[in-house]
Amino acid sequence: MMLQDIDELNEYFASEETLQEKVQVIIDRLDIPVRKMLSTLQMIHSETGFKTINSVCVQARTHLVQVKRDIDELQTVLSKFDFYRFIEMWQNIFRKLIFLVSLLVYLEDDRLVTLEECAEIIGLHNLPIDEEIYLSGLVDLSRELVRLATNSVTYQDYNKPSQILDFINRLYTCVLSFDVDEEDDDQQMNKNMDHVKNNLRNVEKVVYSLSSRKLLD
Amino acid sequence: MADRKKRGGGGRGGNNRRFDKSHSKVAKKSDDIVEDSPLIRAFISYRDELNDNYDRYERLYKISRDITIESKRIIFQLHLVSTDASKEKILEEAKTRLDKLIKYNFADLAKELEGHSRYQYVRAYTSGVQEFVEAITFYHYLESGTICSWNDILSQMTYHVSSGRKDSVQNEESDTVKSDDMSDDKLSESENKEEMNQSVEPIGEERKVALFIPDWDFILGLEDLSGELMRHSIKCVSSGRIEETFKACDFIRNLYTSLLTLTQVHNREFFKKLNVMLQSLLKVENACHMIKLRGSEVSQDLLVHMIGTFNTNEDEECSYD
Repeated sequence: MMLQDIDELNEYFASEETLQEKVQVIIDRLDIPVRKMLSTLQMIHSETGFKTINSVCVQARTHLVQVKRDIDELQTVLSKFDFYRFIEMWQNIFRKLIFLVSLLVYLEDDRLVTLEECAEIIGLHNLPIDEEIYLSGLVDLSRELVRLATNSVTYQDYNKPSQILDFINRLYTCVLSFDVDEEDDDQQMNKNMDHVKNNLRNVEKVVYSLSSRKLLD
Repeated sequence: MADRKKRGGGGRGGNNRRFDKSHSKVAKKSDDIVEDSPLIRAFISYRDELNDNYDRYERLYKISRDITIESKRIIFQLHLVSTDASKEKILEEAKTRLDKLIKYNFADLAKELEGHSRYQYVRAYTSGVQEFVEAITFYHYLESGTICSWNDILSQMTYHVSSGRKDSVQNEESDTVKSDDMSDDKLSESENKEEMNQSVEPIGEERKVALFIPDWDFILGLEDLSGELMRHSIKCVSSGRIEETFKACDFIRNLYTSLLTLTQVHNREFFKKLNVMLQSLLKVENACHMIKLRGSEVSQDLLVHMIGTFNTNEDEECSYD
């Protein structure tokens, strides 16, 4: 290999690094509204927040403005083709975002958000989101709902758990349409399915303990 | 050759510059290095300096271990509050033990650290400080139901050292009475604020030495606090103080929610502990759930047992990060 080839490679790596740094800065900035939104939505687990879920949702939505702004910037820096080169940098935050958006839409409308809708809400037009990341966000959602079901009994709302059970049942049915390789225990897909199933079972337990005490309408 | 030697002694200040000048002469004169050559003399001073560093590290580590042990004992004593009736007495005793720690052990720490680079020895005493933070915040929680601010604790850790005899160290009584309670949003503010300076001001014969401890230790100690609160709240279930359990649940939740908003955190330990904190929170939430649902059906002991087994997924990793 000639020395000038090495120089060319060095230039290439240098330009790559500049891009990477740019992306990192945006991702770090995006982290701020995402964390704020996360902690806002955590309020549904406290007694006051639980009783005013609508206003918590309104408050959570205000953070989406900043999220959209940062994602817009990300889209100007990254092209569709470069996007997956930096998957390690964005997959966590996008998972979190999908979880938050799906939770928000569930709390507002009692329905499951689709992947396209999710992209629309966070203002993602030019970049693709993986189905796998979408699924992992939904796993987080199901886990959060177990917490909500548990806490709603504490706050003596006995009908909430059965609504949640209904929703997770629908969610599980949707998730079941993914192909699973039964043989392979290590497959992430398998684990995700198991998590949703476990969470479904946990909500079932809560509902059962309510119905056996005739606390349901 | 000369280059390599220069690098070997580099960064040690004025000493090695002298050595560099004379070095070429020595190398020309003879190859074997004589006992009192500048090179050997330089290395002897490096050795002394290094040994001094190691010794100081060991001493700091020892102090830190003492603080850890005493803090653990204080926490253990504080846990008696949930079963014992004499809450005031226990708290009073814990208070005096905590004050003792501040007056003696932390004074030793401050003395050792005086005049040294702030972060050089952080690793030696971080565990002790975290345990202490756990103990003192636990005490404050039991006493007033709030978190004490880190600045309040640090302000108690300013000591007068007389330059004549280093042994006489007096604890400076803080005159400023700040309010002890600290709301959750204040907490994140204090995280952003500039780090405390280790200031050494000469006051006549005496010097004022303020202990520097990174804010991180406070945050990490707070995260550990949630584990103690979880244990406290479960114990309160078995002793029938149910309202305490609900109070602790709200408290941990508020703490957790506010810690979640910390951004730009590049500390791996923080996220590990945050995860543990969430597990504690879930456990207490389950406890509250069980109390509401079954509190009137079964005995308290059975209730505690059921809390341990309810809705826990051992193999599922559970966090928001």
